[in-house]
Amino acid sequence: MLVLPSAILLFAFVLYPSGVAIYTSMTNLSLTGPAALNPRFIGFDNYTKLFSDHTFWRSLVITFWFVLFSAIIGQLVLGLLSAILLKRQFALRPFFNAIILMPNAVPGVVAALMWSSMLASGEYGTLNKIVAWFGVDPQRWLVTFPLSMIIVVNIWRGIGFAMILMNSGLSAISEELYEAARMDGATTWQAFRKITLPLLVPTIFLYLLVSTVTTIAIFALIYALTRGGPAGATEIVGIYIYNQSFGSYQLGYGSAIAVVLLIFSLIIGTFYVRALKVEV
Amino acid sequence: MGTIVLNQVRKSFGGHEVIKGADIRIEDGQFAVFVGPSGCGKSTLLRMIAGLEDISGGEFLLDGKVMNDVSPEQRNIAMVFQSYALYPHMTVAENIGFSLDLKKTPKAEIKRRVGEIAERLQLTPYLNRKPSALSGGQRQRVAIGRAIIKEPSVILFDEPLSNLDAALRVQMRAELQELHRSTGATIIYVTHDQVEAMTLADQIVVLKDGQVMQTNDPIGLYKEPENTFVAQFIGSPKMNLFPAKVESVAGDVVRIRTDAGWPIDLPAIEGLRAGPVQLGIRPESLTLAAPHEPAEIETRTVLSERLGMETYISFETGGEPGIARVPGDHSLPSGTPIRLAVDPSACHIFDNDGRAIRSQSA
Repeated sequence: MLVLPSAILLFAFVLYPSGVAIYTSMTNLSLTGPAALNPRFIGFDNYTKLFSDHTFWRSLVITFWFVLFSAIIGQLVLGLLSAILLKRQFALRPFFNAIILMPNAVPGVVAALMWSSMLASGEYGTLNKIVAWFGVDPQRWLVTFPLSMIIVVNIWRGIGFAMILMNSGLSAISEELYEAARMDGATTWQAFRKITLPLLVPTIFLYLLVSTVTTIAIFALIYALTRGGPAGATEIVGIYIYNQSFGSYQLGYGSAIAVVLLIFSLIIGTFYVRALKVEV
Repeated sequence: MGTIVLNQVRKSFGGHEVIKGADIRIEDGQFAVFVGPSGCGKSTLLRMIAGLEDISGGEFLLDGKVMNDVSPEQRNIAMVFQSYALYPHMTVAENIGFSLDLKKTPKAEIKRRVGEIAERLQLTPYLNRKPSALSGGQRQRVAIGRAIIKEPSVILFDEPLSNLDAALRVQMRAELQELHRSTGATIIYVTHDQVEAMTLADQIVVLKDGQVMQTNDPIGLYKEPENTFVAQFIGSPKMNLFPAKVESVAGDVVRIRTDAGWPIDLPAIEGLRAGPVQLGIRPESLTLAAPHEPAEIETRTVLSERLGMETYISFETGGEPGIARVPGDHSLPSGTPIRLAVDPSACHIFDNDGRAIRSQSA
């Protein structure tokens, strides 16, 4: 009885929609034409189509790079670095803390609009004004380096979360361990490599679990910045699902992609949980 | 070699001085104990010797060399922490061999030396375990192993037994003495437990509020405390102090009368003038007097604590609380009249500032 409320919520908002999505993925449901009124059950046809869909595979590859560079490398490394640097007491510490955490508090679309202005082409783009001081000509940032730019934006947005988690992991490591390591003759780098990193592994895996799954599912930030363009260069799977479902009106096919993405996320999630050896 | 000299060593934390000019000398191979109540600065002093805290003023010399600015790993000093500070992700063997591993000692050499240390500390069966799978006493031994594998000239212990139960403490005390004998290293040991201090030390440094109150061997401290703080800190139950007056100095006898009114004759003390003093009597220097025997104190019991082999009798005299530690078992309900005899040769006289006026006991 005690779990009933959460069971109802779980059913209403997770299990039932998933079931509908899986069923939809096996129909030719569309937003226009005859299939909009009378969708037909077509079994695994959408999935067979998916496997020969080059755009889908390309979007998976883009998603992979996006997750790897923004969440796994960028946010993690910079988040850990900020957590270590901000552990020390110094005058402007709260200020830097706020600066790093702020992007997290901004809604994705708002962040995207800010960056649109930042990365705008022409001499009035903020970044172009900045690089102009160094004698660099105005660039069309989102056209010339689209994937790199959305990676940078997503790193900017995610460092705060990574920092908070790493900070909690770091503060669980007793100061006496570092003192013992100093007495044993460890340099700062040795202490980091032999004490901090190994003891931070569970936190790092927890972070990877959360950030990988959420980064795969990112939509608003990229949609508002590039809509997946130019020419599909930033079309990560989330965007591709949207474009197929609501751009090409093929709801059934979009659902099939979403189900495949769900399976990928589950596999990655299971891997991390196994590696964590904890119950999540 | 490990002769330690502290010259007017000071330590301040942001304007607040916690060590106020400590002068300490510890000879090579000695077992020295820093003892004092919480917050007296004993751990800070130890950490300054370790190099984990900067020295704000004065000099720390190890074998004649000034060590103030030498980094911890170059001092040839090892430390055992209160919480042991074992690396939780490493096995016992890795914990013990960590300092050698950092110095890129060959694996075979590390294994051999870790094996020797483990043998000596009876840790061989546990070498592949993580610290979390060890008992408190075993963790303690791993921490010791990690310290002695460096073959340091000085080993520092920061309240190492405080996390162990009473029975294990007694056993570890014996093991520490054996360790001291076998390594020959200078040991500095911090504790607030005077039993540990008395049983382990060659030399005890009593600290209070960042100042050295007295340095001596355990029995010297017990018999000749230089002030009321040391007098009351060493010994259990603590020394009784009664306000008193020197009434007369006549030849070889000094007559002292406590404010409660009872007189006591002590052998003459050089430099003692008539006037107010404090009379210190250890609880074990008071004995229950039989009805026909002479007795200095006549009072009533407040509380008696029966330990079987001895009895602690609390009493009050002239508004001052006192305690007697008498041999044997005595059932004395609260309010029982008692007569206590004082051993005059074991009395201590302190001036009103608490400084000993040439202690009586030999």
